[in-house]
Amino acid sequence: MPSIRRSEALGCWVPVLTGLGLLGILIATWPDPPQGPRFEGAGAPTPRSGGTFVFHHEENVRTLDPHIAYDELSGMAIRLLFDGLLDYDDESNLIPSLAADMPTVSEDGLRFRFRLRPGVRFHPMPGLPSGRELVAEDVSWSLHRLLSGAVGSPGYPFFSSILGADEYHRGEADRIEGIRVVDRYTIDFTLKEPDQTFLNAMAMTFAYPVPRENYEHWGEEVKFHPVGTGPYVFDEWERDVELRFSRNRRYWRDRPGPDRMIFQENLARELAAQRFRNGDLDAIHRQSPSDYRFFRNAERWQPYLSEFPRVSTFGIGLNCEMAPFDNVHVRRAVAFAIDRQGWSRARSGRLLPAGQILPPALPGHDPNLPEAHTFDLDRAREEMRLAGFPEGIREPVTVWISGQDQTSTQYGELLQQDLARIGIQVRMRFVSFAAYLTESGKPHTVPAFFTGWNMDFPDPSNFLDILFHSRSIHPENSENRAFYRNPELDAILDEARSETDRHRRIDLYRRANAIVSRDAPWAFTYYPLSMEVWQPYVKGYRPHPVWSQDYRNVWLDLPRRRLAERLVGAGSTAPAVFFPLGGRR
Amino acid sequence: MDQRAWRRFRKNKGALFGAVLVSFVTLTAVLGPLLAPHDPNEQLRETLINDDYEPAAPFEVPGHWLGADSTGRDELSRLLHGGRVSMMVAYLATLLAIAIGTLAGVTSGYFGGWIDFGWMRLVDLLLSLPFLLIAIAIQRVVEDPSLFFLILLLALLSWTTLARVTRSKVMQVRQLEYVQAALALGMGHLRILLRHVLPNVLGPIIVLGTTLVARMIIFESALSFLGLGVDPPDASWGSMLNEGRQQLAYPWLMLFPATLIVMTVFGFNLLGEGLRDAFDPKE
Amino acid sequence: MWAFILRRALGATAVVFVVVLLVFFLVNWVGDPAVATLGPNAGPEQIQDFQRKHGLDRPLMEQFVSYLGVGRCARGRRAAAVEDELTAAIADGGHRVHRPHRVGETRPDGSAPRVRGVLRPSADRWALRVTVGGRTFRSHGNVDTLADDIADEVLAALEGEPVVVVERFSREDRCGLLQGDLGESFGHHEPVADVIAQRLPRTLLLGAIALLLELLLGVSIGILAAYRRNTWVDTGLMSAAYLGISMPTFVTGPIFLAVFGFYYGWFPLGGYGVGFWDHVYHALLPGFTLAIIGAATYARVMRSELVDTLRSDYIRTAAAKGLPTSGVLRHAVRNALLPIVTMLGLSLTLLVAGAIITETIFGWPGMGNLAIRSIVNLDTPTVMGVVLVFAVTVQAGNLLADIAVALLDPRVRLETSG
Repeated sequence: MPSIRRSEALGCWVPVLTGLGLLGILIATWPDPPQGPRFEGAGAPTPRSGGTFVFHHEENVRTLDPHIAYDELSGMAIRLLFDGLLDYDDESNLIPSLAADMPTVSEDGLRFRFRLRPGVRFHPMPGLPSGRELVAEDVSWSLHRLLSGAVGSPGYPFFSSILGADEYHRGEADRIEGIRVVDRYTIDFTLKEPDQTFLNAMAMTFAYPVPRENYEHWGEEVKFHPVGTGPYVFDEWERDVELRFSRNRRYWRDRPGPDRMIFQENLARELAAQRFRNGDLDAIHRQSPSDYRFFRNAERWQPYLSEFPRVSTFGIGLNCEMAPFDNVHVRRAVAFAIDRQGWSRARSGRLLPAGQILPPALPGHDPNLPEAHTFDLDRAREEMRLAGFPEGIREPVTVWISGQDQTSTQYGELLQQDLARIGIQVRMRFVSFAAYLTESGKPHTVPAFFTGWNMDFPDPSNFLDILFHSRSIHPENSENRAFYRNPELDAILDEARSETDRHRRIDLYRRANAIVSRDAPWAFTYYPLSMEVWQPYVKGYRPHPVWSQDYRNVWLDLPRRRLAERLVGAGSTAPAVFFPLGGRR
Repeated sequence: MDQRAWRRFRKNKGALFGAVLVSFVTLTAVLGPLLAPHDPNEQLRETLINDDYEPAAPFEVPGHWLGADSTGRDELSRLLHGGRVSMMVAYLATLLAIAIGTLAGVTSGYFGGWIDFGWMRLVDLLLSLPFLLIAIAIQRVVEDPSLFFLILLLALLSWTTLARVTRSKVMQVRQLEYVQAALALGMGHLRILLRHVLPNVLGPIIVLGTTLVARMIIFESALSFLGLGVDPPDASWGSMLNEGRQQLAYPWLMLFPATLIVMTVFGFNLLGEGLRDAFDPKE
Repeated sequence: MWAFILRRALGATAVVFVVVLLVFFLVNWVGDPAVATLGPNAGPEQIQDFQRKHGLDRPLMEQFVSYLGVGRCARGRRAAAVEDELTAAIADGGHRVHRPHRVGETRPDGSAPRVRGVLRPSADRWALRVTVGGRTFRSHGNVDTLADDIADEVLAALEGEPVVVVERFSREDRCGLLQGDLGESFGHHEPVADVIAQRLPRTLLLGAIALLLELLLGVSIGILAAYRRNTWVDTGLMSAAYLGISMPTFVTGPIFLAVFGFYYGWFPLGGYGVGFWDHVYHALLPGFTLAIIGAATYARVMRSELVDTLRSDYIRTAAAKGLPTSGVLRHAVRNALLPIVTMLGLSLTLLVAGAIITETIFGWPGMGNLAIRSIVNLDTPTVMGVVLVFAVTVQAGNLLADIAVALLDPRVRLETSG
């Protein structure tokens, strides 16, 4: 063994001591996480431009082609890049956007004439470095592309009331008969039957006009190269990481806003919440139950958050053609057995108990509906007795759940315990979202399933027609996944669809709503409460009743200032030293 | 284990510590259901979730000493039952892996030639398959991915190292004079294998088997961590850890299963090392 | 030696082939990618179209053969005839040219062009869609048979039609795995090779940083422990290494993320960052997580090798002759590094496999992330691509390890060449 001299012996103590020392410092300086915002705005009195706004979603954007995109997160980007002819104001009323005014409607309710706002320009695109003006021909071309069978847009059903749309979709006609360009800024639409939801459809992102040159240039790749008329221009997309946008300086509605926007995709909600609390993210919109609890109780965050019920309904779909749910009493028993308050407790109190399909924000919702589903164990047992199962059902029931994350597992477990009380054993079957959609759309396949519906536009028909009309039953891909057939309901819904008197229409939907609750093709569980939080220096943002996370009116009150640590809690010091403004700006 | 090996083992403090950890964990796994104070799957939504929607922290509610998870289930009972699942899967999968691995190793080492070639290519193949991906894929096909399926998968994943080691050991043993003599005397292959070859490879198998249990626990937890593995509402440590990591506000939900996993794996590793030193003293 | 490498390489190729075969059948058995890709609103027609376009309606064995690209790839006569008709005016057709090739953009009356053909290769198959006067003709097949079924109709309909638009026409003649073509991803609508080319460097960066940390930590701890062997420093470090081996990434990852990312804020909370140094900064924490087990293993190997070497005669002699301790150590370390080098190949395998979980925890957008997403969405071509990369990495790692062992240890060389 080589001899060790004293100095060397000391030398090798150094790393050990350093390590121990580091550990000691770590323990001694264990910081509390920040309890409030770390940054505040500069206090500008009026909106101003500049800065970078960073937001996120936990999934991956699939496409930026408005004709194809049909999910929340693509919508977040599309709302920055494109405009529609119509839009919604803060009270869910339709307002003109690219259209100069609201369209004129003919007496019979079949003809709509839109006048475009002149001078609106598309973003620069290949071959047209300064863009070009939007004209009526663009609107026509966009709708033709949207409705062509080759594109296969999921938005097609919303526009099928346009005269000739079906024939064109099937490839039997060259053009859509009901779309006619009158002059440079005027376009007419003719419907084959009155449709009260046509204008809602025209306000959907599917109908946003796009320039044809761009589509012809890129072919199928156009979804990575969006060009619209919106307040932001697309810059770059680092796949799986982020999308970058910059402000459209030639936007038709001159308005200050951040110079750049960054949309971080694929960012898990727990990480997002932590990044947000550290000041690296400017707004968050989905939280785990514990993060939700934190923000709701955090005093200093209160001015910068908004909590609101989403216009969606969740429930357990019960297949009315399969035993034991072909028996209405079993379905009602399930509806009465669900302890909705208990579910909410397990989800940090963010579920509003639901007893009917129409959520509170929609006309037709009845807060005092006698048929509404509530938690009532006695009634549930009574229904089981009426169904002929006083002792419960011996065969376990398979409930399909899409995805297998912690949230879906927890809901499954909650249902398991509740139904065990009335003698129904639940077996959970976890499948991918795709498998869930395919299989539950086929008759006699899926006995029960966790399901939910988000509105496409604020109208009761968007819930009732799609989910419970017997027309939505097909051999494949039924939207009526409960396979609920009721001629009485069908008649009411058909009448309501073409009814022009608003009050009578709402009344019809109220009746339909009651029928659905009574027959319980779904056991309604909850309306989700959403929470959105933004940084103090983010101004001009309120959650929109129709659009999810619509950031087009945001402006930033910069430069932001780091709040005193005393206020924030013993936060991190290291980044503060290097980046007094928090790095990003 | 002969006398000398046992003596060496007893002197090894680390190995003893490992043995204590292992027997402690194994005992709680076996006795878990008896020790568990509550039904592990019962959701006490009213008592174990407070009015501010927080699950009970450890020592907060009497009788539920390790607190509750966010659905209101007693954490201690879940840990005990979950440990039983984790340990059962690990032990059974290891036994199965040992069976396959020994068979492969002994036959390929003893007979050589095509048998050897076949087994070894199979080993190569299995090592190149991305198992985690295959597990996810199969999970989506099999109607009821049961524990049995999990055990099978883990065993298939892990017999390869054992087969390689056993094979080389058998190749050595085969060259020994008394085995050659037995062959020359016309003794049957089966008898030679059982009488002379197997006893010689038993040591490495026990050592490898012990560390394999540790790896199995890790694999099982990893699968559960990705949402595969045991069926809810049952839990295993891996699935509990996965739940916990998404709720950092309640750190105990992550720390308890994490500690148990690390402790168990540590115990088995120490024990395996001690056994190796005992069987095969280098110094 | 060369014969040995060649033989091993051949064996490795065979293994990769069998892996590809197995996984191909497994993944195709799992479910219908058409449904998974097109989503809820797809009609039966669209699903059929998708299946035909990607050849999913053919027998599985046939699909596999065309995935491999065993068949001839030359363009067929009939296909060429239609194609020539459609693309008469196309000057260049390099596959990188995505510009549409237009002849007569609009008709005199300003309406949209009436003839539109889309020709694009997918795997070894070509999909042809021709719209003439509102009628759509679809043909699918390999290049030999493409358009056979519709050629006459299309040619007839084309008569007198001056307007032709061909979108994204590619003349690339590669097709099938054996010709270096991995097909086209269903989910991303991009060549799988491009999808992987985007993610692989990210995983490699993470792996490289992890490997660096492994070596740095492992070797230095090993040296320190060996140098102070049988003291409490040694015991402490080796116990720590033991604990390290027992700490799976799914335990350490979330803890590190919480402690160093959130509570202390020293490292970013997951993600990838922008720009190279930012990537490196983002990779440090996941890299360290990934490195712990490897570092602990290296430390233990390093220590035991070094202890053996220090005890060997030549080192004792050198020390006795008065070589300073640092010199002795340098000699010994150089010798003890050899087994570490041979272990590097296997490390590579572990890093690739471990990346799946680590990338999930840290939201690192690499191969692991891609692997999970593509298998969940049944993006078969991407899954195959990922599996291929994985298998090749493992085999390459094993091969390198074998070669290293053979080079460094003459005994093995004799055995393997015998």
